[in-house]
Amino acid sequence: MASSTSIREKYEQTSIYEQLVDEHEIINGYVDMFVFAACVGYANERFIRNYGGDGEMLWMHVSNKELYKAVAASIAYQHHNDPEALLDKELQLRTLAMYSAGGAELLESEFGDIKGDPTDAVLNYIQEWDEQNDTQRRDTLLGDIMSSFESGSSADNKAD
Amino acid sequence: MQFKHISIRNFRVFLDEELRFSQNQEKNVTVLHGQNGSGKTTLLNAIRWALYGSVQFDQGSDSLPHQGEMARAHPGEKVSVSIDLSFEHEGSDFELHREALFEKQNEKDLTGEISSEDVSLVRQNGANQREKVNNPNTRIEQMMPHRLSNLFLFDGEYIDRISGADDRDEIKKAIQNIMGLEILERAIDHLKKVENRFENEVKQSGSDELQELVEKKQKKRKKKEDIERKITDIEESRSTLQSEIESIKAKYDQIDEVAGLSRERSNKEDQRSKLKTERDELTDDIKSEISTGGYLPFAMGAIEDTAKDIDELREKGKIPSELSNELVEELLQTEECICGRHLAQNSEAYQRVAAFKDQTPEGVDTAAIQLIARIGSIQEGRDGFFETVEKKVAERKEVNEKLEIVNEEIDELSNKIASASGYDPETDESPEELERSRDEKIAERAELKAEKEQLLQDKDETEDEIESLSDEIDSAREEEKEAALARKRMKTARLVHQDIKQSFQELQQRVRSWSNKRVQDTFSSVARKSNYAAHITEEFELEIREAIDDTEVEVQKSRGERQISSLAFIGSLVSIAKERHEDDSENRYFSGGIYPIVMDSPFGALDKSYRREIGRIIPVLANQVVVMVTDSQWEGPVEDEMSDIVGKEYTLEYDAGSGESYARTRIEPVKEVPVRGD
Amino acid sequence: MSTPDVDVDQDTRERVRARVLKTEDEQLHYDRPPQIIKDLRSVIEEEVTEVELSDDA
Repeated sequence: MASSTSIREKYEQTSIYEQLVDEHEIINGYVDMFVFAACVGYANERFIRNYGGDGEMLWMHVSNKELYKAVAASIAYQHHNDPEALLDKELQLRTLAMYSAGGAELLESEFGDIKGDPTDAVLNYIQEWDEQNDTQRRDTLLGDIMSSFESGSSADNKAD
Repeated sequence: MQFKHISIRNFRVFLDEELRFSQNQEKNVTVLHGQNGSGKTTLLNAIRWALYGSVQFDQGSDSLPHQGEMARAHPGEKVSVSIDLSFEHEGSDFELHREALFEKQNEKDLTGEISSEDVSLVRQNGANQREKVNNPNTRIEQMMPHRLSNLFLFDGEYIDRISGADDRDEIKKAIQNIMGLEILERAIDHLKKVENRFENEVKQSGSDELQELVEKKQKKRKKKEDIERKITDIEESRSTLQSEIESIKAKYDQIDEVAGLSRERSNKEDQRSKLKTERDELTDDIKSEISTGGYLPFAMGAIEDTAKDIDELREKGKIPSELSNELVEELLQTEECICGRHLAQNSEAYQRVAAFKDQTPEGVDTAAIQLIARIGSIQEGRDGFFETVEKKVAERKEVNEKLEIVNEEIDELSNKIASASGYDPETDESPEELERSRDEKIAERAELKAEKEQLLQDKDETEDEIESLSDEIDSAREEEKEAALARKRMKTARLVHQDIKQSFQELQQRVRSWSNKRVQDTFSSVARKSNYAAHITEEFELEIREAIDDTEVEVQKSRGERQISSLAFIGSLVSIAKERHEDDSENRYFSGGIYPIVMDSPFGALDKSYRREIGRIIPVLANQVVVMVTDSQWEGPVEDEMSDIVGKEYTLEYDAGSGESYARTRIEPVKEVPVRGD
Repeated sequence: MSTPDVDVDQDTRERVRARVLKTEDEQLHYDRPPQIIKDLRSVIEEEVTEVELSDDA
């Protein structure tokens, strides 16, 4: 399998990157922006198959954050509907790139016109999104799933 | 090269004839004489055909097969024409055999159509070693180049041409050939074409573009400097304004009515400043939160769905909740289950545990479990994001509210100051005037700040432009380099072309001088009129000049004089060739060679005394000379003159044929003088 | 802008000349050597590989 440094995908640093990262420094760096856009893209079911661009995103950078790894794995699993996706870094990066391109487009249409600091607008956007989802139900569900793994409902695993 | 022997079969009038060439050093001439039309020219062509497979007949047809043989053949039958020529070259003996088959087309056909041609060259080293030479034509070309053949196998006409009115080219060509100047000539022609090819490569636009780009970059640089200067100016101005604002404040301190208000206002302004800073910091914090956790709310959907799927896999037993494959391995090895029970091999329990290993692809289970393990952090992260962000937003709201209040307070104080009485003791200005002035300066300062922001942006843009111009310049430079290279190559082609052309002309002239000297010497030794001299001009004309007083004047050549001078010229070339062959030093373009001369009817219609003189020249022209003459030209003074140096003499006996037999010529020996060691 | 002139040093000229003549000699037996222009071009390309440019900004 290819080494982390060689797993890379193209991406386009559109104007939203400049606006949110360079100009107003709302997002710290291009990697964070990339992941942020990917999550937004996935959440809105928006992806671009023929993403392209002059920039290069390295898996090495994305995988620096544990949570990013989990996000990448999940999105890839869901998109391809294949457990093996959990292992395939190249696939994960590709999938992220697709959604990131779509998400960037979305964010551009959301904030591109705003003159001046769009921080509040971005914050609003995030909050509104969260409100749409039933957080409590979800949290409960996830909690249950975690416990079932910890205690190991091992009825199936133990021999009779 | 020296010819030894030739046998000719079915070649025009020669049905089956042979002759031996004289190889005697002192008596180096072989003479063949016969009536007009007996086949002298044919004999010359026989040698030419044997060597090169080509003939030069000025009159009549080029047909080769003997007519009698063609007549005897039936349509469809083939007549073989062949010549065997043996010669010696640089110490080895060679046998050349050339043969052609001519097919009779129909009953009346006496010419035939060539159906095949074959040539072979055999070399004899020593007594018994016969070696077939590969590429015989190439080898012959090397030994006696075709381009020289006119110099060594020629007839009276050629002699005439050389000395005739339009002979310049012939001589030039002859000189060129003998000196191997053809190489130079070809190089001159080809290099011109090569130069043109390179010229096509040269891009004219290259260097213009580069210059433009460099100028553009310089302009941008200057622009950037201008911007920087403007920024500096603005900063200075702002600084100055700031000092002026400070000094107004100092003035207020001198005015009792407003001193206190002014001080209070200063405090409030400090407060405001701090609040602004606080507010900005809070905004930064919010930004930071968005950066580190803002994505999470959007990711939760994927996380949830994936967790659900993984949980399903676990329920189906495809992922052990705790077990990893390694653990399973271990259990199987020790034959002990998790619960502690013994796992007997082949028992059902054992099988079930073993089955875990293969149900999920290796690694997926680990990855899945890792993901599940991270759910906790993900949730925490998301919750933390909202908690912190909400807190910060609330704090910022508070700060903004405070800011509002402080701003109002400051405004109030400013109004009070503006409407206070009193005046500055030094300048007599009232607080109202001072306030106005202060407000103006503050406003101006703010404007300048905005200007500065814009300029900083412009500067960034300009820097970007400078960078991309630098890139463009680099690649334009590359292009220009390529163009310059093509230009250099083009120039090289041109210079070498000039070099070679010059060498060519010099060499031509040099040979002309050599040849000239020889021709003069030869001519003088036989010319009747002692003040006559032969001369090759710079334009390559063969002249005969007469010395009159102190000058030389060209005279009209008589035919005899022309022929003598032509022969002298040929002889000069032959000896030059021989000399170059024996002298290794300047072998560059042509290594020369030793050649025999075969001439057909060199005497033409000359009077006897000329014939005598020509007869005197002939033997010195080359190592081996073969002469074909008419009987009448031979008899008398020529025969007298040459008998001492004739090694072999033959007559060509022409038989016109009668009835069924066609014409043929027989070669009959008259005199054969043995060669030493013959 | 006029095309700048380039220098060709004596050594190169002589080397190219020698190689050109050698190439012609080798193909002398052809009446029309089929590749000669291409071959001579290669000779010059092989011998002239670098060029100096005057440096601008």
